[in-house]
Amino acid sequence: MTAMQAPSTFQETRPLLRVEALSKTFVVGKTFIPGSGQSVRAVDTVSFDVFPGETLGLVGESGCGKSTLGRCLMRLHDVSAGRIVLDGVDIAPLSPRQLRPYRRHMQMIFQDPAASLNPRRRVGDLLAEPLRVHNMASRTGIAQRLRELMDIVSLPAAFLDRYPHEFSGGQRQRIGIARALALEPKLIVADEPVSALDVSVQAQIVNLFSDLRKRLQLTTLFIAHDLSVVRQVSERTAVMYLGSIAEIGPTDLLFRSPAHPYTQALLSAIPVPSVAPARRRDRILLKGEIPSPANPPSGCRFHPRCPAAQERCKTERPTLTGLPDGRQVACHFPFSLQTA
Amino acid sequence: MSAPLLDVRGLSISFAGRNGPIGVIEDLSFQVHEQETLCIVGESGSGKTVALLSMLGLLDPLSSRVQGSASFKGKDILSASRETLRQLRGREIALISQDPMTAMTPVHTIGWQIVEQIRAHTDMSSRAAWNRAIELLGEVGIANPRMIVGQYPHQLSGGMRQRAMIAMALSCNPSLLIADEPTTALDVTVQAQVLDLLRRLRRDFGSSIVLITHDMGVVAEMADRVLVMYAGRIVEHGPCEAIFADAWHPYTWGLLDSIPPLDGPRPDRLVSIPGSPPQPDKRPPGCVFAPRCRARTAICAEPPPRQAANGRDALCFIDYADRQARRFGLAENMDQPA
Ligand SMILES: Nc1ncnc2c1ncn2[C@@H]1O[C@H](COP(=O)(O)OP(=O)(O)O)[C@@H](O)[C@H]1O
Ligand SMILES: Nc1ncnc2c1ncn2[C@@H]1O[C@H](COP(=O)(O)OP(=O)(O)O)[C@@H](O)[C@H]1O
Ligand code: SF4
Ligand code: SF4
Ligand SMILES: [Mg+2]
Ligand SMILES: [Mg+2]
Repeated sequence: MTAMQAPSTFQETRPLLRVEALSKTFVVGKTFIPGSGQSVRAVDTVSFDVFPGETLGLVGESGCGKSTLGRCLMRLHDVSAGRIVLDGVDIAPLSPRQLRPYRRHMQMIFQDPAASLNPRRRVGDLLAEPLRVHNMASRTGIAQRLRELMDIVSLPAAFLDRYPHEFSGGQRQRIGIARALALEPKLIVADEPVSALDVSVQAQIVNLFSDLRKRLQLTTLFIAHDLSVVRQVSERTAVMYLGSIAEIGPTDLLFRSPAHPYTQALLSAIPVPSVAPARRRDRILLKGEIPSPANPPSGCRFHPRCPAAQERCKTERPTLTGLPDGRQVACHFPFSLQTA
Repeated sequence: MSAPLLDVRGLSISFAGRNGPIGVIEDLSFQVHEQETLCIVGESGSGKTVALLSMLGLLDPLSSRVQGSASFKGKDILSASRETLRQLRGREIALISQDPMTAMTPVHTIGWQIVEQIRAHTDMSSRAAWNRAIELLGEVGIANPRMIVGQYPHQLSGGMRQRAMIAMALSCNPSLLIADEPTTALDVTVQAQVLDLLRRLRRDFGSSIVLITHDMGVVAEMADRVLVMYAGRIVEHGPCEAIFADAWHPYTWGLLDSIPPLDGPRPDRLVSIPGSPPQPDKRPPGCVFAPRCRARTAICAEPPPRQAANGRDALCFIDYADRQARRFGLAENMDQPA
């Protein structure tokens, strides 16, 4: 792997998705009393690109803002600030009505396919629904498209007549994926799509994502808390901490030599399924847990837990800065915890 | 070797179903020795939780039927009275369950619950017990224990509740800690703290641990011995090192091979196990794993033998001389859902 020298082929093309300084603030506990309510900045000034045909992995621990970011991109949330440029159009300021023609270009895949599939409708109807809503096919065209979709996710066409509850978790996720693909979206946001599945079944769905990327040149933001899954499916990986990107770059580079102390700690915390000592990284045990985004620490958001923190980190917030090797990192002292 | 701490023999469990009893656990036998960590690994629905609940007398006797024997420190626990089991659970055996809410009372603060637990089993003053509760909460990685002791379970996040429950379980220095997927709902950095805590518990107090998990990484890190369960049966058992070096059962091969690697080259595709685990009432006759097994042959329609050697065993027909060839000769990818 030569990610260091060779520029990624993706970077030469125009990004399909450009996210610029995106922020999302929730106000919680608001009452009629003026000034009540607490604002929670779940996504804080996030910028990144996703290139056509690329899978960008997004990792980070629960509550760091992955789902909120994904939902903002889908415009399932209003955004508080920033731009979301999808194929040249900034969709961040659009009203629901203005958004309508863009909806079919972006689709989401959820963790729990059961919750997103209406149990009273047959699989065929579930898949046909988006096609009808968006006037995408004639009656005969629909039948053919449904068989095509089932083929893409490796399910027999006979399943079209069955109901979601008749399927296992893995099969339901295949149906969820087929549904998201029905409209040939430009961008897929998959939010923890394999987290609820057993390992053996998880591997099937991870393989399906790899196949789809190759076969359909899908552009995907793949959100997961499991780093090994993200490594397997994505060309580039972004690591989030408390609403911001800590590090983003080519997947092989990040996993081989993480620069941000948080990426290093996260990687070192994963139990490796091997008893060979050579496979183990020295563990960096972090203290405490992620602070509440309602009351974030000063300076670098990671400083109260960072084993490499220095005085400067308490006051001065690091910005995401490019390194010569092609990644970006938000840390005053990158590589200071080198363990390898 | 001294007598095992926990000795389970021929445990079978069935539940009342619409068309007669449904067997969920089939002939489970295993031992837990002093100061050892036994990991039970398997996919969801394989019967891990049901097996441990039965040993602690926590299954509903009206709808379940339990056969076989289980003894703790030489005393039968399957036929023990509710009161005996309740005492045992507080003092000698601690349970950390998947769902922390079941172990807590919603109407009392976290601190109150831990203090009660400590005071029931020691003669510590309430002030000392309160301080110990704060200390324990700190030890399980809660950043502001002084604040958390005064809160109610519903006020905490899932991860915080799980850690509070671990603190509660640790408060009586149990000789056996049964932890049912204690870190499944936690983030990896917090999981690392909790696993570290369990290791210290074993080292400092000599507790034995039964750790139920579906994560082979956790197994590699924690286990002395491993039980691999599939569809209510132990399909493989042996020392941790041996199983990772040379697994015998095709299901164990699948579990190990389906994990995406964190280093080295990324495989084009993962080796997955086709299909999904059967429901208890749909388990096939013969080898239960046969419909998903890449190494299956015609003989697998019969119940497989338990082959044993060198302190390990596997429930499979494959001859030991054949194992390596069978495992690595399976090149074709059967990725299709069954
Ligand atoms: N609808 C909402 N209202 C208020 N706060 C929210 C809402 N959705 C998410 N949050 C908060 O935003 C933060 C990020 O949450 P989320 O995006 O779900 O994280 P992740 O997906 O990484 O686990 C959390 O602190 C969460 O409590
Ligand atoms: N009270 C019950 N009545 C009937 N079936 C049950 C009951 N509890 C569990 N089961 C079934 O027993 C099987 C094993 O469950 P469980 O022990 O929870 O598996 P695991 O902990 O390995 O995920 C499952 O198929 C489950 O549906
Ligand atoms: S800026 Fe300082 S506190 Fe933040 S990650 Fe880097 S070293 Fe740690
Ligand atoms: S007995 Fe046959 S089907 Fe069962 S695990 Fe062994 S080889 Fe596979
Ligand atoms: Mg989420
Ligand atoms: Mg369970």
